[in-house]
Amino acid sequence: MILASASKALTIDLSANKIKVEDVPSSYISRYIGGRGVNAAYLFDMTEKDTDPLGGSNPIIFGTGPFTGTFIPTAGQLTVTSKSPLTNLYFKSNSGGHFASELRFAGYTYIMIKGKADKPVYLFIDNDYVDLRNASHIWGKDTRETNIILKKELGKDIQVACIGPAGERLIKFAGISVSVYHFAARGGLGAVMGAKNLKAIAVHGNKEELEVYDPHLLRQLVLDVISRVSRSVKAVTYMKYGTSGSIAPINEIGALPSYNFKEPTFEKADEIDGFTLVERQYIRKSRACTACPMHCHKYLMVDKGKYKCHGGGPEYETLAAFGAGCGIGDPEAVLYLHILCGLLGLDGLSSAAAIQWAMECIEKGILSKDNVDGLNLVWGDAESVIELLKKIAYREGFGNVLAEGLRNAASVVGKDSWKYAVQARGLEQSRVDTRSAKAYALAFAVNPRGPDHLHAQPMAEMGIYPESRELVKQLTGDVKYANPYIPEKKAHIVRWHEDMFALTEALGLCSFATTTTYILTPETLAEMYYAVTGAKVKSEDLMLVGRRIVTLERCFNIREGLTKKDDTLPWRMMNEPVSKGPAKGLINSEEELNSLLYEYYMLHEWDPKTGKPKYETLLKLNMKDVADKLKDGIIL
Amino acid sequence: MKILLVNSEKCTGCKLCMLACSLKHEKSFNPLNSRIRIVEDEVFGVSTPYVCEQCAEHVCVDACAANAIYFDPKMRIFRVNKENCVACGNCVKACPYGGIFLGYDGKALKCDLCEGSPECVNYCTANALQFIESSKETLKMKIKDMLKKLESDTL
Repeated sequence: MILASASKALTIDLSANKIKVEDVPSSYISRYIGGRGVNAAYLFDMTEKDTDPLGGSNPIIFGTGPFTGTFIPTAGQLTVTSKSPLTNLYFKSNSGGHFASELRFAGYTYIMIKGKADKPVYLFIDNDYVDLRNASHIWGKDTRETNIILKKELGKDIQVACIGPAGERLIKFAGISVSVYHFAARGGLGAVMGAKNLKAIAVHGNKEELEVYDPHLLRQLVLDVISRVSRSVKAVTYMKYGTSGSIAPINEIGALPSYNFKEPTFEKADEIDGFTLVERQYIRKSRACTACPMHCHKYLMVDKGKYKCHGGGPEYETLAAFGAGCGIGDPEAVLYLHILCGLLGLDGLSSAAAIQWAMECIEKGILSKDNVDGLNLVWGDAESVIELLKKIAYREGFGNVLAEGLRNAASVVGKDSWKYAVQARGLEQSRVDTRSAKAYALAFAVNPRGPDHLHAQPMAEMGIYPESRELVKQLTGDVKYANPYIPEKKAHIVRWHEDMFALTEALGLCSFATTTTYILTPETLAEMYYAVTGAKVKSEDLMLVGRRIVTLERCFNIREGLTKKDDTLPWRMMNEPVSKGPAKGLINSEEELNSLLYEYYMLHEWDPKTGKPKYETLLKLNMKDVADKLKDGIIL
Repeated sequence: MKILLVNSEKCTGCKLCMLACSLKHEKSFNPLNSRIRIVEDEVFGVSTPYVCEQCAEHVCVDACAANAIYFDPKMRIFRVNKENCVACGNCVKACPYGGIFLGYDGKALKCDLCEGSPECVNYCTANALQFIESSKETLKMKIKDMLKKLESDTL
């Protein structure tokens, strides 16, 4: 038996065909706890400036946390970290499913993979048995087929993380399928696996009996969380509709990015909302990640017609991106596109963003039908969107242009097309209209990944639920700031969410438990940490771990040459006001963004002129090693 | 009298029941330490909880040559005496409902209803597990779920 907080890293060098098990440096665990934090420390220390994301020296790290494998609600999350081929910056991508707990039970907290195999391989982990195997029979297969074949080969209990055809072809926004229908989707980490000739990781684990310090206390805390879940309006919405239940409400407040963010509402939003999808029985049942009582994931089926399909999801982001974003109101077509993305191993958000940008370029006459292989790329034409999606995954014709990501595609297409490319730092923005949500705007601008919601999810600013209003009051002193249109005090809200989000993913939990539902508070996490590890920690110190992780991620990007001007939002957000509806006229002006950034840098004790963490700030955070590394290059 | 009622269709596959069972009985988390097991068909989104149905036929008892499964008159259920168990696995092979397992140490594990207060049901927000008064209605539901397991070839 071992304590759940114990930590082992399985390290694989694909070039040398070497497999080792190592202890995780205690200086990582004491400062960054685990998961996303320790992953980031490994990445920072193992790479140098300008490491080629698709080269052998860029590692890809799969991390779990000290809560993984226990029954702490939502402790089923896996964080995958690498340098992104899409943004050329730090990237972490998080996934649910059952891979993380399986890995813990096999006896490992991390898998760290570097090098390149000379031919396609997959990694098989069966407790102590670890082997690199020939993957030629699964190379070329879609993500589901890969799972089916590996389960037949290795036993149905295995958990698989794999890439599809998109990852094999190094599509810059290829994702990693986890437990069949969950995805570490963003940032092109699937291409990192593809570049390593690593098709899949299959794990089976039941060796480790994980003990906790105080099972009785942990049980009480968990039971209390379970009862809070049943009382949370947001959690109950997740149970019924998953994230897809957000489509109609967000459309109502005029914040559903439609037609490539040109419009804030979509006339067919109700058709693709979770309520309709459940009512019409496209959403068949709820599915959960390990230890999650909120079971927001779904299983869907379209049982007849040309869009016949089945699989996991749908989610708000893909529904919004392919539905409202591309103007497709037929729910069956949108569900089909969602499933197809997963099978091909593409990030739905980036794929849909690239396609709708092409649609707008056609509309504006920047591109012609001839430029796009004769496809009828007009709003709402599902058939051509499906066709183009496949072309992206297989790098055919115009698909090959989009396969390099929106930023690169816009530079190829030229003219004014870059203005309609809704991306910053190379990452396509997720389906949040930051013009009408000021905390989100700041969170997106400073997100080390680029403009999306998975660095800080400051949903509290919407002030929808009593828990979120209470939190805003506590952070800003006044409940009036629980209003998405007000930019004042938003830096305080963003920083809390950043700290919390990073801490959540360091522990191995899901951000839906800590932000969005606000069920797990810093105080509860501190009690749980004690119950699991026996170490008494203050909730402020745990939040400080979150801040340390955020700062480390920032330092990685600073080392790559990131400057204050990269803390920005897509052109459209900064230059075109919302066209209609309740948020009409709102914009992310440069002045507004600068004032948000100033307040944010000051809170972080970063240099407000450059946006760089100060040397003293890093010392205060016990990050002298990081500070010295940056100082050597006279970066700080 | 209360029964442990399983409604497989509602199971989301979160495995909180397994983890809770493991902690309660063995003071640690491990899937092999659980007396309830979720079998997944992830591709089709199906999770099925397998647990002792406390059936009247108790073929596991007949299959055991080591006298390791005994009747507990207080709880009115059959229980495993690990000391007698020789880890042959005959009970597992015999049970048509897939309700008895081999544990971490290789010996038989079977649900004991936690002395009348099953721990697993406390964590099931999907209501796939209920500890509920036996009635015509609930027995019907229980038998329906058992029949499904008899007919399935998952095991």
